[in-house]
Amino acid sequence: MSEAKSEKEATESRPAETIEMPRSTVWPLVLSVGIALLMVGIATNLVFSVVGIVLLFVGLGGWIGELRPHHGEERIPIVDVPPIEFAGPAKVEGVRRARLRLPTTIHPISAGVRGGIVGGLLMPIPAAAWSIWAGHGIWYPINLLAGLVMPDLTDLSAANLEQFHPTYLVIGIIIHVLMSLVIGLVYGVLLPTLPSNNVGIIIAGGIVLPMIWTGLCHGWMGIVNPLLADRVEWPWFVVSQVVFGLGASITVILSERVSIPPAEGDA
Amino acid sequence: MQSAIVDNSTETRMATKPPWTVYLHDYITTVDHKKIGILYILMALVFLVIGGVEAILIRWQLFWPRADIIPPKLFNQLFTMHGTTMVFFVGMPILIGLGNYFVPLMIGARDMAFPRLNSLGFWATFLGGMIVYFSFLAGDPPDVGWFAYAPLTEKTFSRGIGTDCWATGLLVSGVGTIAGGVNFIATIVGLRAPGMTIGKVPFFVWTILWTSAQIVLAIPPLSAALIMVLLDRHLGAHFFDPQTGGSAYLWQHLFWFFGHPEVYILILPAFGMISEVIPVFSRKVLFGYEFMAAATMGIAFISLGVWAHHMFTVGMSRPMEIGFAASSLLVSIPTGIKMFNWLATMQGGKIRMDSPMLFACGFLGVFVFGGLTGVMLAAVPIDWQVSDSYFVVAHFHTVLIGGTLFATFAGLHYWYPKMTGRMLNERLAKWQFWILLIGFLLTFGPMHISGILGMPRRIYTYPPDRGWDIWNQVATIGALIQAPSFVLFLVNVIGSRWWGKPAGNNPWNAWTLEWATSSPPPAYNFNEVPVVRSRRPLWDLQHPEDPDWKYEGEHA
Repeated sequence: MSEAKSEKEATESRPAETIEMPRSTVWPLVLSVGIALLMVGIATNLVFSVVGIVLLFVGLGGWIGELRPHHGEERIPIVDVPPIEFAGPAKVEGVRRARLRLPTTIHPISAGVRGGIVGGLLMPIPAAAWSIWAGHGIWYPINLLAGLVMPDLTDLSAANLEQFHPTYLVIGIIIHVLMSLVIGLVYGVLLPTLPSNNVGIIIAGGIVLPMIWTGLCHGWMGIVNPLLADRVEWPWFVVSQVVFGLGASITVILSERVSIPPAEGDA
Repeated sequence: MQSAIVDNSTETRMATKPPWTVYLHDYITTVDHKKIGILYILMALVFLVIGGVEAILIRWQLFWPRADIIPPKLFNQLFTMHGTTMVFFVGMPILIGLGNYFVPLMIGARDMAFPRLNSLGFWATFLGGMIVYFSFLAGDPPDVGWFAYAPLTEKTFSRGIGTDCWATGLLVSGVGTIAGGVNFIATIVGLRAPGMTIGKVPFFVWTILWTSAQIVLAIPPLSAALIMVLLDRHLGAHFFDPQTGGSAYLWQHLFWFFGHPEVYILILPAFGMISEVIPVFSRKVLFGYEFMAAATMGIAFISLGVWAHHMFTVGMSRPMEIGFAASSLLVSIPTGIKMFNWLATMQGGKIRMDSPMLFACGFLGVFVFGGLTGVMLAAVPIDWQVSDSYFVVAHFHTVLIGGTLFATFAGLHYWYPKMTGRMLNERLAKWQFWILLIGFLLTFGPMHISGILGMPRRIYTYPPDRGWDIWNQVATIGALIQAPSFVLFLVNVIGSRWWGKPAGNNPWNAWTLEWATSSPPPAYNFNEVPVVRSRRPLWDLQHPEDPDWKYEGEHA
């Protein structure tokens, strides 16, 4: 009872403007020295370890003691408040235009996906044309594509690869559709960063991105699809990619641009 | 917000000066995050001098071929202690120290989440360093290299107490580092000012958060491995002794599972400081904050899966080599994003080349150089060719000095006025920068060449007919040129503390919360915990007609 009363009196006698902060304490240091001596004993003499363990528990005990209410804190008086300074020795006004959101209108991401679908529909045309022109028949490129997930296709002869295989057809179509959609999606995401005029979109989507994609394929084909790497004709590969890219780009150009929701502060 | 500003000027504080023993007692028993931060920084600076002297001695021995200034065993001890010191007792403590001082201030908190644990963290780190250096007093410093490859650490090859001191010292300092990491995470997650969502924290705070996550994930495996070393040495276990069924290979995996995230523990806070300095000295917002934040997360995650690129030459399987090469190359993508975003922040800005910005620009140039050689070393065939050569030494010094050290100097020059209430001398700071830059390029540029010419690392001398002489001599001269830059820094830091121009609360006209209180801040940091609505609360206060929160959105 009297303890509660004295606590109340203490609270009332505090300065009005104070903040409670943790009180300085030596126990973390004692505990650290305990841990350190415990370890030093391993390297030197176990007597140090024994002393270390004792200090460790002394430090821990002291620390736990400070966690009791009103034992580990103190109240610090607040100092008077001057106004904030904005004009230091090196005051320079900030640049504001960097915060605007540009561009203000863009083609939507869905336009990129639609472009991927159109490109995916156009791309088999040059691929099939090359295959027929080279005397491999129409099924050859789709069997090669299936090699992406069917490593044992590398064991098939060229003549066998020219035959119709329903399993490889299904696999090839799935791969082609998925890749067309994913690349269309990537294209759609990249659109706001690409040039906004039609010529720029055609160059970026129809030439630059197909070339980058071809470069990546050239580097990785040997690992991800050794069959295609062995048998691909790169000029025709490039033509197929460009056709895909042009189809996707034109689809994007034909799509309607949408506005980016303006930030509240945009002029 | 206005009322959050307090006056605690240096003049007022120094009017009644207590005796030095009061200061000593105050610092030894303190749980104030700012004082603990200063203790970390002072500790790191002392060890920086020690590690620097060791480096100069190493370079001196290598100045001439067939030199015998330093005996081989001492040479081994010097490079072991140099590496250990710089990584564990300079790099991490100085970054944790700056984080300790500024994270609570930047998020509007009064202190770290666990102030006593914070004190334990510092003392454990410091005493860990003392244990490692105790080996000098015992007459047998460790000589196993900073990564202490097994079975060199076994009793058969290291009979003295040097390796024991090394292992126990790192164990103790590891306790401190983990304590620091846990404390940072709890502080940043739990003590942010009202309105400061996780998407609005200053970028330095964001990098400290992910550094802490790496600390919590990467240090325990090292501690486990160190305990295994001690078990091998004292209780006859055979974890790392191949002759008795152990695996030296296991040590490499365990060590580098810590060791490579450690590189990012040392660089992410540096990225954070650069991301604070460049916007303020370009007078622009940080370009692409969200992408920068995602890139930081990306680096933190990827860095946990690249460790075995340090082990390409031990003979791993082909899929392992390809996998670790690919993941190592992958790190360059988020790092590149950061680099371009810093440049985009500067582009079109009103750039002020004050000393913090000068060091930040030095960082940008040199770090790209070091990063590119990192990309080279991630390629297995190149790594096979130059592994364990001076090319590797040049690479990691370029990254750690060009990256961490330059960025840390940028941060120290930026925040010194806040910590002391005084400005550093700009002329001395600029001299320091140019001397350091020139010395640095002369030291580590030639090491790339001597490495490609085949000079192995860790050799204590070399024959005169290999064409390595000139490159070693230039490197040593470079090291000697660097040394005065550190002296200038220390003179500037000490001198400006007493004779520097008064800084005021916000000398750089910066925008984050640490500048909203006095310099140095009072024990409680802020009278009232400020309310935050954007990533630049002081800009909002200064420009109520055009605040940032209108652009960022309330839910960022």
